[in-house]
Amino acid sequence: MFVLLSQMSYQVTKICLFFPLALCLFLTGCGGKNPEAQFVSSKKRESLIKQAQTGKFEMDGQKVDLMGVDDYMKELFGSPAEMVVWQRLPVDYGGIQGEVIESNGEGQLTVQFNESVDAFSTPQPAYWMTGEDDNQEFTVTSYDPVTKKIVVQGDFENRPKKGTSFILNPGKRLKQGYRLYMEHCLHCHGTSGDGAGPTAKYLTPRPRDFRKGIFKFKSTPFKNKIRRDDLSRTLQNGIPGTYMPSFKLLKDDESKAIIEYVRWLSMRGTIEDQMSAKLTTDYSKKSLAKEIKSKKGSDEKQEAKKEIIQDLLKELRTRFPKKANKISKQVSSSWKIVENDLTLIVLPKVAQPVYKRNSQEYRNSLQRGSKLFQTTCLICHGPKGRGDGENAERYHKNESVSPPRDYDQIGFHDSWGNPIKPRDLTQGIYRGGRRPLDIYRRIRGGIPGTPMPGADKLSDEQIWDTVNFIMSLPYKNK
Amino acid sequence: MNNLKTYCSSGMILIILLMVSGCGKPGGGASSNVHIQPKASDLSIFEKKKGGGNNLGGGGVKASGGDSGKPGTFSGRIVIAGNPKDYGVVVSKGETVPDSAICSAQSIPNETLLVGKGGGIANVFIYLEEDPRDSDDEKLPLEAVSFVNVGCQFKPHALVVRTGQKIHVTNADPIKHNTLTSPEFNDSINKMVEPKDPAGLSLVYDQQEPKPVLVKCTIHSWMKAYHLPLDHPFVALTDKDGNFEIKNLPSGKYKFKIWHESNGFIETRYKVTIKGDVKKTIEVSTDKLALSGNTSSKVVYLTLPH
Repeated sequence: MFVLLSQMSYQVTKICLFFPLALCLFLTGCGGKNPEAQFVSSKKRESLIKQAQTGKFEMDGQKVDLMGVDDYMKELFGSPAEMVVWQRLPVDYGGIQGEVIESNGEGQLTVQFNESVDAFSTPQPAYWMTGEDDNQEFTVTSYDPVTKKIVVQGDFENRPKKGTSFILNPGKRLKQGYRLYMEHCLHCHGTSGDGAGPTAKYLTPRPRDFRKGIFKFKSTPFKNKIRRDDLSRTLQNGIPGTYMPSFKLLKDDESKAIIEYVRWLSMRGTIEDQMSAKLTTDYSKKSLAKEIKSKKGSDEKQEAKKEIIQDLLKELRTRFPKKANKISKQVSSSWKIVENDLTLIVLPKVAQPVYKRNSQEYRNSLQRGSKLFQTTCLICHGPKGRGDGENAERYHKNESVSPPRDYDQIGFHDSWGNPIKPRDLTQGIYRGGRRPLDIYRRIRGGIPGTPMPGADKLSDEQIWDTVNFIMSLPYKNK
Repeated sequence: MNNLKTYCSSGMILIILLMVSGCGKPGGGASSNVHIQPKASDLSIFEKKKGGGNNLGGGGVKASGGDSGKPGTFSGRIVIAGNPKDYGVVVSKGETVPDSAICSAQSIPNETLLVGKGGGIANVFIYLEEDPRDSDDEKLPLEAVSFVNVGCQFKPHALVVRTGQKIHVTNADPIKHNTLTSPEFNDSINKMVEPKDPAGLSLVYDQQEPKPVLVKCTIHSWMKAYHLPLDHPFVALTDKDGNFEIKNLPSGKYKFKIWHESNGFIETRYKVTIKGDVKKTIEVSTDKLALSGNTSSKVVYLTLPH
């Protein structure tokens, strides 16, 4: 009897101890809201004084509320959960644009869409783009594709006039891109595309920071942005030799959506950076501290600080809005031009000659390529192409700090401040693609974000010789 | 049997709890609810704000209203107060460097701090950020400026240009060089400049930069120069004795920026009132030029010679 009891109590004790502990552990996931995703601000914006970031001033008891860098970013891009679909940016947000032809009363409108639209599921959200109800949301509750009549419901006062344009389900593609990005890309590339997601710190090379707008492997010249086609190729093939996998198994429209979202993130990062850069010279924390330090006596110091804050107030009120406008126009056009101007695509005028394997012609081409390689390439890539050239094995200066000083690590560093080695060409791993055309593009255009220059003046034949030589390196007797 | 039953039941409860623990209101991430707000291309936030002009003192860059004093020239010298440290050379004669036959045939001086007669500092940029004129009636376009790769150095070491003005980059050496620029707002370029190619490379900055742009050769990593593109002509570069001159400044109060490559901005708000010609000698103390610290890169050879 006692034995039974003691046995039972052992079980009971075990459960009584283990159970509540397990309960506490498992219940921690329940209830409560998961944290909202937030965009990370750039280093430049972090370096500004608070008033430049927020636009909020308090002087002599008076409060002034202007638009600081953060306010512009909120207005033009929003937050991950509240995205702004800004028509100025060349992003294919999705949604269908349309125009009111006739207003038939009682919420019925005859409309014309920009593209042919069959029946769609209703209700659908929509926004007025022009007219007196500009930026007002409404709902389309039914659509008749034959008569092109829609029935709308909304809180707008004026009957929409003829010619008022609207957009149906705006940002549909961006929303889809957001969801897919959060699912597939976020953990390496980060919520803001800053290349600092949770797994990023374990990876070498680091995931790309989109916010500079610099992309390495593209079909356009060094100084231009990347095209959608190039981003698509990267998604399809991944980047061999790095942790970027292939996303070939995504559907076509899914990968298109991710590409738009990445472009949007990149534009956001660039615009934030450049807006902050317009203010960092005078209104960064460092420069304010420097000014105050140069004055003697606390009265003088207070005066100096006050003067700087007042100048900032004037700047934010008068000149800065125009500067922000110009920056966003410039960024938009630089992304637009690579899609519209097909002459920007780097293509050889002379096709790669086809040689028979081991023919004398081929060997001559390798010889010529080797000669070209030895004139310049070996200084970084090494005489055998192993990436151990003398430039890769000296200390280089970090010029982005004042005064410039040596990097901690030997060798080159890329535009993101990470150490980078010249490619070991004997491995046969080509990150930007292994087609001869890809290697042609790396030589012709250089690789942005890295010290690799573009050989503008070499002839196509010379570059093809070099390409042949490079592609033969993995197979040379070592 | 009793044990098994207890274990099973507690196990079941734990499993159910485990499954339920994932529930919660969606927050960020792929499952969150996303709201879209469309905005038209042109927005009112880009317009100048109206507001009280009181308490805005401090003086901007534009000449104070109604002040029709005559324009003047701002000139003077920038001198060092204290003893400049000798920065030595970036490449010693005969040193093993890329293309040493050409590049280390002579030693290449370190041009980070060049001090001339009487302590005058060369290559200091002194400029206004904003154009003080309401309209300009200058004769543009300007002629192209020459920027040469010679003796594995850039000449000139410091250059001021107007936005849109062409910089003709050429290579007078028998070896290849490349030109890599790292501007803030303009496009960065990185192109090879072929030896003895008179056509060279054409470099244009479309936008004004807030501070001088670093220009480097990545093959010969000691080579560097600075370009400053501005929208207006109110800028000067000190000569080898530290002298500078900025002509035709409309009268008014100004805040000049003074920048030198050894330590960046010496001054961001150097105040000058122009009412006719103004001459100043600006003294820069050695700590503002950061003369301490390692100036030339360490050289370590990790591999055996090939």
